Amino acid sequence: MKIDITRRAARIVLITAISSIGIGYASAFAKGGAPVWAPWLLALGIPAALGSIMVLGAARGRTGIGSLKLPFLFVFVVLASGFCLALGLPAAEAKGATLLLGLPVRAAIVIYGIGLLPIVVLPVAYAITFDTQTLSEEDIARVREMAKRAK
Amino acid sequence: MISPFTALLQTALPHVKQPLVIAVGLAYFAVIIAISVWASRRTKTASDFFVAGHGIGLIALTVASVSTSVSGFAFIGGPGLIYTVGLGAMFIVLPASVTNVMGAWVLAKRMRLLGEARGLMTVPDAIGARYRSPAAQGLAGIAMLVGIIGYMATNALAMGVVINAIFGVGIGWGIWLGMGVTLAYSVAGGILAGIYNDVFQGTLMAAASVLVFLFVLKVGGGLGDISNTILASDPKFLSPWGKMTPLAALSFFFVFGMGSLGQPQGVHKYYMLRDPMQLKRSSRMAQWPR
Repeated sequence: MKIDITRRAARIVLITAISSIGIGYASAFAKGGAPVWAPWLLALGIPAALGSIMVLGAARGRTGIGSLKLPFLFVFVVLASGFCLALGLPAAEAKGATLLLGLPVRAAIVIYGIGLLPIVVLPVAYAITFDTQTLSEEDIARVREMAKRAK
Repeated sequence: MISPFTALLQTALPHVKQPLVIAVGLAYFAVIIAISVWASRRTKTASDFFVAGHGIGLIALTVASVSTSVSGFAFIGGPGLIYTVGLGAMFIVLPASVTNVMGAWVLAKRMRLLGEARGLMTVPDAIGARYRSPAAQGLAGIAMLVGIIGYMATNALAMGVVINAIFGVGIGWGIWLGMGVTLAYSVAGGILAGIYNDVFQGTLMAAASVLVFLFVLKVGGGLGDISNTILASDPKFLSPWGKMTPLAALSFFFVFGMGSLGQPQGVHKYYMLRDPMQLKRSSRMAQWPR
């Protein structure tokens, strides 16, 4: 039953996230331009949508997503907090501004946080859980046997 | 207001036209032709033509996949877009930190095993098999055809711009020449020619990117000095959204993040992997060149 709960929850989150992104998009057509809350819908909706798709892709049998919960949560937090900080922090890009690793603070959060941190975590999580969550020699043998029988 | 393409045609681009650069350009075309001739001799069956006989190794497939996803659209057009709208254009490439692994979880195993078990060769094949519907398969083919036109158009324009800059033949002739070469090697050598030409081009792109990055850092006095110089003249350029609205920049992230899962030229490559167990290392390899 666990797999159903995992997938059902992921589907609900995905639909909610895509709906909020859609509302954000639609609001751009409002008179006077997009309201201030519109980008916040995307800032939270995009990480939720990508995260739920990863959950749907990785969920397997009765194990659900197993130990992938942590890396998925990490990526959601990194993306959501990165977008929200970029939106929420005051614009301080000016001559003589404080730089973080060579970039203004908000730009550094986006480039190094959103652009680089998931690269450190996700591929390692994928490789470590590959045999249990993705594919094993037994899986391949089973598929090849089924294909042989079908012929 | 004139269209960007018209503006490009009317702009006097600096033509390189130096003998050494032209020689390098000709050598590049010679390598492409050599790879295509080699591939055409190895392409004998439909499986060879469409999925390289499921015989491509992981390194070649990874370099080809990254090269395909970056393409002329991002490699030539990307820097121009950043120059125009600032850092906000980076939201086109930022989702790559997530999408390679997301594609591996969602599609890689399923496509590879489905291809092997059912003898599938194209993405519409997989959709037809999954939904047991020839209508869905046909619609997927039409959707791909429609979707790929815009994508190919941007890449054809990128080829035209580069060929014109090197040989000074004009953007129009550059497009015809570039498309002619691409068409010739695709027809003659099938996907094998496509993959190994992508490997060659991807290696060049990676090497050129690193060299240009190091050169720019050296000339600009480091990233901090470059940022200070830009901030002094155009502070908005280095805002996280650049000169775009936050909504537009985030839309880039969403479209290119989700869209990567639906790129047929990327998804199709999962069919070609020689050994499905190599997928274990695929996402790590695909991420590092970024």
